Amino acid sequence: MDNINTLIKKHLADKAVGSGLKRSKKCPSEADLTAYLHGTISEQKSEKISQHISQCLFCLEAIEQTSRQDMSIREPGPPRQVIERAKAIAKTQGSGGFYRLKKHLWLIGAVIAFGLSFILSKYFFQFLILTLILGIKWALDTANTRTLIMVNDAWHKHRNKDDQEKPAKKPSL
Amino acid sequence: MNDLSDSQLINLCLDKNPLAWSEFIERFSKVIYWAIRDRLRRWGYQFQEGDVENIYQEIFVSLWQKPKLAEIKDKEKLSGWLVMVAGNNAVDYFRKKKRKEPKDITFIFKDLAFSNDNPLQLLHSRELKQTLESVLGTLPSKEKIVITLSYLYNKKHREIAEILNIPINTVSTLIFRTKERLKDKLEEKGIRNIEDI
Repeated sequence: MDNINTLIKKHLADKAVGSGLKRSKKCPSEADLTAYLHGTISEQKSEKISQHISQCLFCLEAIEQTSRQDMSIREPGPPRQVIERAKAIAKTQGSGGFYRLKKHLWLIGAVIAFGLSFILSKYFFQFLILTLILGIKWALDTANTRTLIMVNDAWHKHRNKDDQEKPAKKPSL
Repeated sequence: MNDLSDSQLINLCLDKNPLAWSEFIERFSKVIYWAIRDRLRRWGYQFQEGDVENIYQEIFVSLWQKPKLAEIKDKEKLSGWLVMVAGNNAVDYFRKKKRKEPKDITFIFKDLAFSNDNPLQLLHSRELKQTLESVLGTLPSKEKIVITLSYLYNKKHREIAEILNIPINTVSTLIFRTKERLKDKLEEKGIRNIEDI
């Protein structure tokens, strides 16, 4: 059986050598490949990706690399100044005009509804309610509020975990 | 911020939250840096530390500017995706910026391949190769991936099961079945003693 193993190994290596690996347009995106590996993709798409990977060593190399990611623990990380430079991207690159507009979409809607409540005075209260709904939606959707909600959630989870880890008090005699 | 789950962190990064961005960088810098160096080393690129730093920076710029993070379907399983992105970006950097292709990245498998030094061996191996191809070349795609990971990448059955998210028994059965099929086929061709080849 050992010889069979050698034969299979040699045959696959023989086919791989010189196959000129390159990323092609047919290669699935990293997101699709990850979803394929985690089984969070439709069966039809999974089959298509499966067929592609079985022929594409470029994708197989990428998949194989992910299985070795624990090795990163033993390797030195980037120098501190490189990390700080990456952090500074948030300040130097800005948020982008489209993003800023999208961020305040609910607020813009609320302002428009408020304006319309005066123009179409017949529907004053309806527009006022709409203004209120859109305003609340904007307030809840802003990054700061969402951050606070998430930090609060994480803090509560952390506290619950700590409580569970604490040994139960012994009943006093 | 370090109490946040990966998916919460990504959502905040998508909201362009600078604090979340700093935490994201602290959390994943090491794995990204490793993935760049590992891919370049494995694919035989000659690189300087400056190249790795440039690629690292480019990755973070593209993650911040483009909605790339939004593409991830399962945000709790982020590191695997980041490894792929980092590795592929490293290759792209050398192709586009340095206009360098690796000589032949498949050289890594060269030592394993059939040796054609001996003409007698070559004669025998031609028939053998056809037999091997008739079995291995016609395997269903998923089985072929399992076989390739096992034989070309020397992955253990447990590792393959983890990579492809399938039961370990399925992997073992599949490999065993392929070997049996190949053995039968070789016997059909009258090749009983493989050591003679």
